[in-house]
Amino acid sequence: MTDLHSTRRRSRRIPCLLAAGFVLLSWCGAARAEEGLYFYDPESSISNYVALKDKVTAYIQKYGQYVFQPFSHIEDFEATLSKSPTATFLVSSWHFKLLGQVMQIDPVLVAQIGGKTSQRKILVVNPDIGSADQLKGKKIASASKDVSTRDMVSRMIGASGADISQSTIILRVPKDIDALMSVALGIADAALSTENSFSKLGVVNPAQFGRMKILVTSENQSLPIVATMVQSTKNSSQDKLVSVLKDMRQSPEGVEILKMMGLDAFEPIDAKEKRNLR
Amino acid sequence: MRVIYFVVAVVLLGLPGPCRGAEKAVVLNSNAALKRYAEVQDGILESLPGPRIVDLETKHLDTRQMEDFLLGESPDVVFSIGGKAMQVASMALPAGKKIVFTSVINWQRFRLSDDMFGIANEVPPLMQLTLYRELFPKLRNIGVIYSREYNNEWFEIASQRAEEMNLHLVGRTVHHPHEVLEILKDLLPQVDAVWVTADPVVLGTTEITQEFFRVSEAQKKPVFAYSAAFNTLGATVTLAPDDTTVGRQAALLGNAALSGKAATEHVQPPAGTFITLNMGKVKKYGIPFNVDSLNLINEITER
Repeated sequence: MTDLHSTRRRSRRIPCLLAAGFVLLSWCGAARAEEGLYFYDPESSISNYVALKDKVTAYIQKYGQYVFQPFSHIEDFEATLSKSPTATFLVSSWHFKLLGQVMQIDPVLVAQIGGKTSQRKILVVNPDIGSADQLKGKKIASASKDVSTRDMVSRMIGASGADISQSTIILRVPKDIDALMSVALGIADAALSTENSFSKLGVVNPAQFGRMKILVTSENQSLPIVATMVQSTKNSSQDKLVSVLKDMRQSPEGVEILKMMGLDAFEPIDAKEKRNLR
Repeated sequence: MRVIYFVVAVVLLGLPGPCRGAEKAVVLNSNAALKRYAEVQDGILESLPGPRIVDLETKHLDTRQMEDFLLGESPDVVFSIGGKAMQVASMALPAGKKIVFTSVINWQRFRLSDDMFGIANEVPPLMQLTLYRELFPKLRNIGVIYSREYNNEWFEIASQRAEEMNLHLVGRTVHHPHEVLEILKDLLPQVDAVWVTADPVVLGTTEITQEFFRVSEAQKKPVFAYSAAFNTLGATVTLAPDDTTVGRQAALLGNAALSGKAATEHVQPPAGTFITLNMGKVKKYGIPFNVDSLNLINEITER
């Protein structure tokens, strides 16, 4: 004879077990499909996101069900970010500051190149240009978009920088090296680049690049930032992803990915760097 | 009769586009379905939204019809993408109007008028050599097979640039395609890599081209080439113009030409590059590679 009472107790146990399981999984922070790393940096030297996406996705999925999504359009990136409260994202420090004005975000890691977490932008010119005034109406090659190039050039020049910057013609090119080559080849009069890129080319071809000179230099700017949305509860899955990024430098595959991004490593951001991002 | 041609042109191409002030542009695209040409067009449109666009692959107009179309449009500048578009524009456009061409192989074959400007299809030797040196720090001797007829001057310039970077070009000339493979076999042991440049005498047939890469592969010597078309044949590095940047340059050149500010040199080299690296070949041949240059690469393959 069936013990109806026992059967009813068993049948109530199943949903309770399922609910408990769900709570347990949530508490463990099992990665949901949309968790992962979102990347937008128009100033980066990366020209083909396909190879990068494949490599990064394969790498982070060894540690969880993460996705990696690079964006080439800011609108798509920001729209996705606004709908993904658990997203981890990688952006330039310039863009981080802009986002921070409209979103509650927290910087957790900063990129590193050559042991440094910041770099300076430089405006390299051909020998004919002796002063910022002589840039009026001239052509500047840059791997950054028009708006950010003009903004950067204006700030680098200082007083009268805005007028000079607005008068210039911007030629957008894929990479820093293309911008510098444009000056060497006479296609452009100036190039917005980084100290790192310029010094590398100076070693490769001192005859050509030794003739070019640095007209103005920016202040030190933080390298790209890994950030998260400020959340009220701990998200261990996200913490794990951040830890994976921090440890990338320790594996050959991780190093290859970092190099594809033009970086050497990610390291935890310190208090001073955080203040610089406000 | 011209009225009929004009009507036909309008019917085929639609009504003339809206006038945009003093400067009006038309884009003639030899074939908008080709990715390369489409990217150039995108680059032009970034700076110049709203020009009339004609895809010559789908709109078949004879010279008279094109003349009538351009007469009706009365553009101040015509952007011609590809050799076909360039020829059409140069034949049909009235004198005094500007033409800016792109994506034309060996533009030097054409006689340019004072109203013609363009972006060359070939990445200059300085740019190519700088990138090869950046990617492969141990590179010293690069073999080049070329014909004096097409590339004598190019080789001289390239050699000078190479020496500036502590590279040495080992050149061998050919007069006929059937000489190429024997010269290549003799050259390969003396060099670290072979550099293929656009030369119809050197890669004169499909068979010779395929054998060129096969022989180089057998001797484990990387081949550097000027077009992504060589990726499937086994090139280790291909370095081609970035087509969107070519379009942007063309737009700027068009503006400069219209304002009378164009540089003395009517044809500019391409400013942007698209680099493909076959990492499979790099590993197979054991070539010392600068991992810090990975971010310069647009596309990495592992064939």
